[in-house]
Amino acid sequence: MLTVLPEGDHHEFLGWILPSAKKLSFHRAIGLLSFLAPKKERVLDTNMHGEERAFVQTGVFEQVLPMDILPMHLLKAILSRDFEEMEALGIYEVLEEDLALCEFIDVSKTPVQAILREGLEALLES
Amino acid sequence: MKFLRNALDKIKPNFEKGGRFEKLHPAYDAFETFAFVPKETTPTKGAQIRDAVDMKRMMMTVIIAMVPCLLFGIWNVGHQHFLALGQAEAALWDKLVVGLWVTLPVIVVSYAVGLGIEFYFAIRRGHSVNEGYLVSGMLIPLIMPPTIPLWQVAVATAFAVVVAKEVFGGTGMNILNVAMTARAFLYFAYPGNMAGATDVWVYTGGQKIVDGYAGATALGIVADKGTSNAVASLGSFFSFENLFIGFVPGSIGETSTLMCLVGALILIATGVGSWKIIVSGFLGAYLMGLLFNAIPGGNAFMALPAHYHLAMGGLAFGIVFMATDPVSAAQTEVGKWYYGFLIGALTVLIRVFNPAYPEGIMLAVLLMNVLAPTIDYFVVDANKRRRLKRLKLKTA
Repeated sequence: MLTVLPEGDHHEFLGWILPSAKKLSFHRAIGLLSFLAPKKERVLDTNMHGEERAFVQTGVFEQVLPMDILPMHLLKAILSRDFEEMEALGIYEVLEEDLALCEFIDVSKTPVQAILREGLEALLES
Repeated sequence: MKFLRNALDKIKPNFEKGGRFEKLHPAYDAFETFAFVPKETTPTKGAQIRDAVDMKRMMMTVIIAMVPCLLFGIWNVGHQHFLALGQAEAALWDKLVVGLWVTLPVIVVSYAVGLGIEFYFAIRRGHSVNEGYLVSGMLIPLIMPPTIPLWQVAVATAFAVVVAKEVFGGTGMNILNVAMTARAFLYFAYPGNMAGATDVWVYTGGQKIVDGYAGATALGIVADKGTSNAVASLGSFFSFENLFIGFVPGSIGETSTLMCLVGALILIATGVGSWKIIVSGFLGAYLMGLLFNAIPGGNAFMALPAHYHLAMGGLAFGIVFMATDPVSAAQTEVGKWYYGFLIGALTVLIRVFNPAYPEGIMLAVLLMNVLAPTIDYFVVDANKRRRLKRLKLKTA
């Protein structure tokens, strides 16, 4: 199957606070109204909708991951190259795509899948 | 908005690599991304679409949740001012003017000092300015007494931002809640301006307080009364209704439990604040209150009806806005139950047994901030052990 997405390389004036029902979101923070009409069809583009930040929000990754894994703790273990911790937290149970939804919903726009790949590669080389 | 976009694009090269003000890029970036969400697209690998949420919107949600407390606080500062002068019938407008006169400078100082330091560190380290301080900068004024000298606000803000946050690496890395650290700093460095004396909690503008207006807080009164009946010594001015709605002296934004609950509703409905922490926090305080009620004898505070604890002092404000700070709270879902419950329980414990300082929420939140990683350690460890167990079952 081939999916084509419009390129999202446009600036959006006050896009971080103006209310909108058009933009899809897993969250319900002020102004994000897509939860009111979850079945409505929306055109999604490739815009990041924000900038990368440190981990702040907790408890949401777990909602979109079916496995008994703590994604944020796993990601932090990878970032600190703590091999034992990575293994203990279940890095062998996941591949990038398993965490794709975490990457999609993340408030901090963390490159979740890229970090996981780094961790897996590091383990192979260790 | 084409005009603004063009203007930003025109000066942008100066702030980029090789530009004249290259080093000031984080400052430019902060203003640009405030006006426009950047046009950055997703990288070639990884998820190609992203959620519409971002950190700015999340932090803004918290600020909006604080607005009811802020507005009520502004009015109440004026209200208490006129009560103290014996002019209870003063007009709403007059009360708001006095409230704004006292509150606005504190807010301006808090934001100016805090954001100034944030910008300085962002430029020094070459990373973008984080939004975290937008929330802390509003929390700090709301937990200050109305009479706080502005220079103390500035010193406390600087201390909290540098020592509680920046030395750990900035937003997302701090162990202690920034706003509570500012308050704790002032409490221990300048106790005379933070507790006790009558003239701390009410802005008088140099005029004389009329007889019969106590000016103390409910917590202070109960702590001073020894073993007498707490509810009786609180009197009608500090009735449960008045404490709950917030018609009492106290820090600028924390007197109204009702407004804190409105804020809690916003935080919970938007999913930004953890309902588990809020619910378990109030539950912890209430159950601890009941426990002390069940013990015969003891001081006035022990016999105080448990529901009074929820409406008095800064408990509600602290649980709703400070304990739910996701960075300094427990970061696992199970851990949040323990974290919230212990904050509530410890607050009441400190109130009852610490005659030197009847308000416990500040120390309870800071103490649990420090203990949160320990709670998480056990939750994460349980997760690891479940994994090992599954593994053994398979190999066996």
